[in-house]
Amino acid sequence: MSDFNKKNRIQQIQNALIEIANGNFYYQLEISELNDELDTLAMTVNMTLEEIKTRFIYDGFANVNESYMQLVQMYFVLNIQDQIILYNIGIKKILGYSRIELKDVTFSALLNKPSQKIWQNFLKKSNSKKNPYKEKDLLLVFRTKIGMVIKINCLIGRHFDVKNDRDIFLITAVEIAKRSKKRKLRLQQKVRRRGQKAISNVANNLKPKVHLSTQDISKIRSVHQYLLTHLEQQTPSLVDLAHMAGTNEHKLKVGFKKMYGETVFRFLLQERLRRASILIQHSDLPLKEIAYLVGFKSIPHFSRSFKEKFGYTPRSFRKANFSNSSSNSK
Amino acid sequence: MQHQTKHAEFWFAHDLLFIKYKQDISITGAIALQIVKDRIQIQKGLAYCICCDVRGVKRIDKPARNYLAYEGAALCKAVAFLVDYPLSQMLSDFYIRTSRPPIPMKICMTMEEALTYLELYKYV
Repeated sequence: MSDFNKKNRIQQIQNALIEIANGNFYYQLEISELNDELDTLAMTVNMTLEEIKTRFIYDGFANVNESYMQLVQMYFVLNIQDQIILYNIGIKKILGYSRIELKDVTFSALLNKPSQKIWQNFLKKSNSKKNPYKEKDLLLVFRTKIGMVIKINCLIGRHFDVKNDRDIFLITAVEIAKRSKKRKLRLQQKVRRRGQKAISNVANNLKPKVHLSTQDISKIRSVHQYLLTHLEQQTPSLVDLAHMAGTNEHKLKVGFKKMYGETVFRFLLQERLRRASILIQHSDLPLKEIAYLVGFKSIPHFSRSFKEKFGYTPRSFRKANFSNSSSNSK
Repeated sequence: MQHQTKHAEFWFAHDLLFIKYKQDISITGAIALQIVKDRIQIQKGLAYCICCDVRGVKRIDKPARNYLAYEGAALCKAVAFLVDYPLSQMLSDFYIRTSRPPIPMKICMTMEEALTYLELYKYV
C-alpha cells in the first residue's frame, strides 16, 4: 500500500472523530478489507459509534459552550447480606439522609421498587454457585429523602475481603452533568421544599414536544452559525431566519432553545455583549463605536443590556478594568 | 515593529498581522485570554487579516478553543493558519470544524498559500 492511501485512511478516521465531536453519530467508516491496523482502528470507531448511538441520552446535538461537573459521586461497600458497611460522605448530601438514618440500612432500602427487584435478582445470581457475577453494570434508581430520584449507572464488583475473610460488594456511581443542570436542580428542590409547584415545568409538559430530525438540527445549526457571522448586521426576523434555513418559525424557535438553551434573540444579545466586553477591556475604541461594531443600533439599549449582564455600565466597566490593569502593571 | 510576549511573537507586515506561537506551547483557557488581550492591544482598535503560525502548538484545550473562537474573533477579518503535518494541521482542522469561529479561516501548508488567501480579505 502506498503512503498516500495510508494518509487518506488516517484522514478519514480523523474526519469521523471530528464528526463525533460535533455530535454526529450517524457516520460510519468504510472498511478497506485489508485487515490491517488501520482497518482495526476504523472498525473500533464504527463500533464505538454504534454504542454511542444507543447509549446517548438526547440532550441536544449542539456543541455548546458548557462546562461539566461530576453531579453524583457515590460509592458503597456492602456485605453479601446487602448491608451497607461503608459509604462516602457525599452520599449524605446527595441522598439527603443523616448518618443515623444510614446506620444498619440495607442497600436495597435506598432504591425505588423496580430497582429493588433488579438488585434482588442481581444478589440472587451473584450468590448462586453457578456462574456468579464478578462485575456488572446496573442502571439503578435511588430515592432521596425528599422524594426525588436519581437514576444512575452503577458498577458493582464482588471482591474478597482478605482481612475479614468474607466477600463484599463495591458499588461505584459517577454521573457527569452540565453545571447549569445542577443550578436548575437546586432551584427545583428549593421550590419543592417551600411546597410550591414548579409552574414552569407544568407549563413545559403541556406544550407539544417538537421532534428534531437530523436535518432540523443541521438547519438550526446553520442559523446559529449565520447569527455568529453576522453579529454586526441587522438581524432578520425569526420567520425570515427560518425561511433562509429552510424550516418553519415554530421549529426554529423551539429547536434553537432546545439546542442552545436560549432564544434566538437572547443568544444574539449575549454574543454581542460578549464581543463588546472584550473590546471595552482591551482596546481604546470609543464605546459608541464598539456598540455599533458589535451590532447595537441604540446606545441606551447597549448600556442597559450591558449593565444587566455585567453589573456595570460600559463606561464604568472600562474604568474598573483600566484601574485594575494599571495597578497590576505597577 | 515586533512584539514579544510569553506565548507568541506579533508583528505587522504588508498590512497583515503575523502571529507566531512559541515552540511546544500548550494553549489553555488562561493563555488564550492573554493572547487575545495582547493581540487587541497591539492592533489599537483596527481590524486585521491575521497570518497565524501554529506550528509550535502541541495542545489546545476546550476552554481555549471556545475563547479563541468567539471572544478571539474580535477585530479579525480573516485568519490563515500556517500548519505542518500532522499535529498542527489536525489541531487547526479540529478547531475550525468543531469550535466554528465566525470568521473566514483557512489551513495553509506554506506562507505563500497563506498570503494569497489573506489578500482576498485584506481590503474588505
